[in-house]
Amino acid sequence: MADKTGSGADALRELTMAVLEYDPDKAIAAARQAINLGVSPIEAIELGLARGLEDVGDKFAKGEAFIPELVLAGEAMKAGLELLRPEVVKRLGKVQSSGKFLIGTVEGDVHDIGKSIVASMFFAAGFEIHDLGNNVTADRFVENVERLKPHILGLSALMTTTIPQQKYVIDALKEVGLRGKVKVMVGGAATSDEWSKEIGADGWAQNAIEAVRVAKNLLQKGK
Amino acid sequence: MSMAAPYLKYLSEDELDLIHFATMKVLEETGVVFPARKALDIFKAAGARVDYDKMLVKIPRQLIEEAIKNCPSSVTLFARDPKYDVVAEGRKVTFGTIGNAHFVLDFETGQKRLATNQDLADITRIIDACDNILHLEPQVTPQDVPKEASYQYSWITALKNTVKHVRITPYGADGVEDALRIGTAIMGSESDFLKRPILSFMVLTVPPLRQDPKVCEGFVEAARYNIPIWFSCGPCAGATSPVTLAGTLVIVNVGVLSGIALVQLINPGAPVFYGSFARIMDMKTGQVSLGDPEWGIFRACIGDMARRYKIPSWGGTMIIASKIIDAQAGYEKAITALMSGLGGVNISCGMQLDCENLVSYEDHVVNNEIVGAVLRILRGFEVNEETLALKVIDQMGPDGVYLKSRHTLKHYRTELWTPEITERRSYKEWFEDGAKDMWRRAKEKTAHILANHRPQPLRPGAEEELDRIAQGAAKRLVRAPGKASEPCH
Repeated sequence: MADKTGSGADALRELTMAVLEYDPDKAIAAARQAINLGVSPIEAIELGLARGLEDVGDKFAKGEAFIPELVLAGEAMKAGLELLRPEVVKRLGKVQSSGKFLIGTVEGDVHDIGKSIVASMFFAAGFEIHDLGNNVTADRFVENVERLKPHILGLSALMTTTIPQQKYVIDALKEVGLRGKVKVMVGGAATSDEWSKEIGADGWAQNAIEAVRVAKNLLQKGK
Repeated sequence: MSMAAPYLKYLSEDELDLIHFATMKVLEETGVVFPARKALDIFKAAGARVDYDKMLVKIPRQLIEEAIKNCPSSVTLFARDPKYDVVAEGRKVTFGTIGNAHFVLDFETGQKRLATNQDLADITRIIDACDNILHLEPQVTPQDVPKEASYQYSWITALKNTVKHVRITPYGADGVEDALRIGTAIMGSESDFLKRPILSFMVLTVPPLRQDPKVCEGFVEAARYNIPIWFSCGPCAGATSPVTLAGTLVIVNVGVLSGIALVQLINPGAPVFYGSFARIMDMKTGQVSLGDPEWGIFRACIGDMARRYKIPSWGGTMIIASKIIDAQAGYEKAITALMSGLGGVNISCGMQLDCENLVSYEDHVVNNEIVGAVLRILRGFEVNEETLALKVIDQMGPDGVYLKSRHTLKHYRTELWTPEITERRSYKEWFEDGAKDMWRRAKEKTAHILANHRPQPLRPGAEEELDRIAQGAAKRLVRAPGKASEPCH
C-alpha cells in the first residue's frame, strides 16, 4: 500500500532532490527507498523525479540553468527511471511515455555530440530513447525499426559525404514496407529543410530543442 | 639596429611542462583509437601497446619524443606561382582561409542558400585577388555536384581558380590517389608535383581520443610522399574535452602528437604541422561557438605548444559565430586574428561565418583588411638613428610641421599601413558619398574583383584532365540506390 505520510513524502522529495543535485547515485537510492516503502512508481516518477526535471527545465527557459544542468539532470533522472520503469510495467503492463525515439548517426559518420544532445532533449521531454550510436548501417536502422517499432526515427549526419545515407535509410524502409510505420526526422550540420523534403523525410530541425517540438507535432498529426 | 615587434606568450615554461607531462600520461595510460589495421601494426612494431579488438594504442613517451625530434622546424607551402610560396617557421605568421562550409549568403540577395560549384569558383577567385590571404582550403563544399565526390570536385574547382597553395582533406587511400592525380595534372608530371606540392593534406582527429577510419587510412597512405600533413585536434571544450582550457589543451596535444608520431614512424623527417581548431560549446544554446575570447586564447596557446616542440603551427582564427558582417563579426574577427598573430601561429586560417557553416562573398575583402591591420601590428618598426629622427626633430624645432619634411615623405609608406576599405574621411565626405557601412563598401570592392580578376590560367590540357578526374571520382564513389556501400576497415 502506498504510504502517503512522512516517509512516503520524504521518498518523493529525495527523488526530486536527486535530480536537482544532478546525482544519479542518490536517484538510485531514492528510487529503491520509494519502491521499498510501497510508493506508487508512477507517483515516484511524476511527483518525484519529473518535478526535479521540470524545475531545471524552468530554470533553463529563464536562462538560469544551461545545457550541462539539463544534461546532468537528465542523467540523474535516467538512473532513477531504470529502477522505476520496470515497476510501472509490473503494475500497468506497459510503459508510459511521450513516444519511442530511435536515433543514430549514419554509416560512415562518427560525429555524435549533436545526436547525444538531441537524445538527451527527447529523454527530458519524456520519450523512451534507443540510441544506436554512430556509423550505423541502413540495414541496422531497418532491423531496429522492425524490432522496436519506434514512433520517431532520427537520423544524424554531419558531412556532405554521409548525408546521402539518410536517403538510403528512407529508401530501405520503403523497400521492406516499413516507411509508413515510423516518422523519420533528419538532422546535422550538412542537412537542411530542403534536403529533408527532397529525400522524403517527415521532419527536420535546426537544433535539439526544435527537434522535440517538431517530433511532438508529428505525433499529434499522426493521431 | 633594433626591431620592436610584439609577441604574446600565453603559457609559461612550467605550464607547458605540466601540459606535456599530462599528455604523456594520457598517451601511455588511456590511449588513442586508430581504426586502421596498418596504423596499429606500425605502432605495434615500434613498441607501443596495441589492443587490436578495441583498436586502441598506448604510446610510450620515448616514441613521441623521438618523433618530435624528427619533425622539420620549417615547412614550405608551394604555390603554382613561386611568388606565392609561403614558409612556415618560427614566429612567421600568415593568414588564409579554411573550407567546407555548406552555405553561402547570396551575393545579390543576401539570403542564405546552399553553396554551388560556381560559388566556390567565384569565391576562390576573390581569395586569389586578396593580397593578405596567402593560402586556402576550398571555402565551400559544392552541394550541386555528386555528393559522394563533392570533396574531389571542391579541390579541383579551388585549384582552377587560384595560384595559391590549397589544403585538402583526402578521404581514404583512394582520396590520396585522386589528389596525386590532380597535382600531377596541374604541375605536368608527378615528379614536378612532388618537388613542389601545390596541395597538402589535412587530418582532423575525432576528439576526445580517436581517429576517423577513412581519414586515418588516408594519411597512412600519404605519409611517404613528403607532402605536408596538417594535424588538427579540435575538441569542443565541455563536449568532447574537459571544459577547463588546460584539459582541452591536453586532449589537443594527445590527438596531434599521436598522429604526428605515426607519420614520423612511416617517414622520419616528413613535413607536418601542429595545430588545432579547439573551440567551446556555448552552454546556453548547446551550439558550438567560435570567435569567443576562449577561441582566441586557444590560438595563442597552440602557438606556444608548437614552438616548444619546434614544429610549425596552424589553427583557426577569424571564424566567427556571427551570421552577417556586423559589429559582432568585426570584434570576433579582430580579437581572434590578433590572438593568433601575436601568438605566432604560422598558418592562421579561418574566415567563415556562423561557426564554419556559412561563407559570404564580401567577407573576404573585410578579412583582407583586418589581416592587413594585424600584419602591420606584427611587423613592428625599427628603432635606429634614422627612425629616432633626432636631426629632423632638431630642425623642426618647437613648431615644425612634419608634413613638410622629406623624412616624412621618405618613410610614411612603410611606417603607416594603408587600408583599402576602412572609412577615414571626414564625416561630410562619407555622408555625401552615400554613408556606406563596411559591408556595403566590401560589396562594392568584391563586385569589382568578380568583374575583373582572372586567376593565372592552368597549363594547357590541365583543365580537361581535372574534369576527367572529377567525373572518374563520381563514377567510382556514387552509390547506386539500394546497394550496400563499401565497409570502412
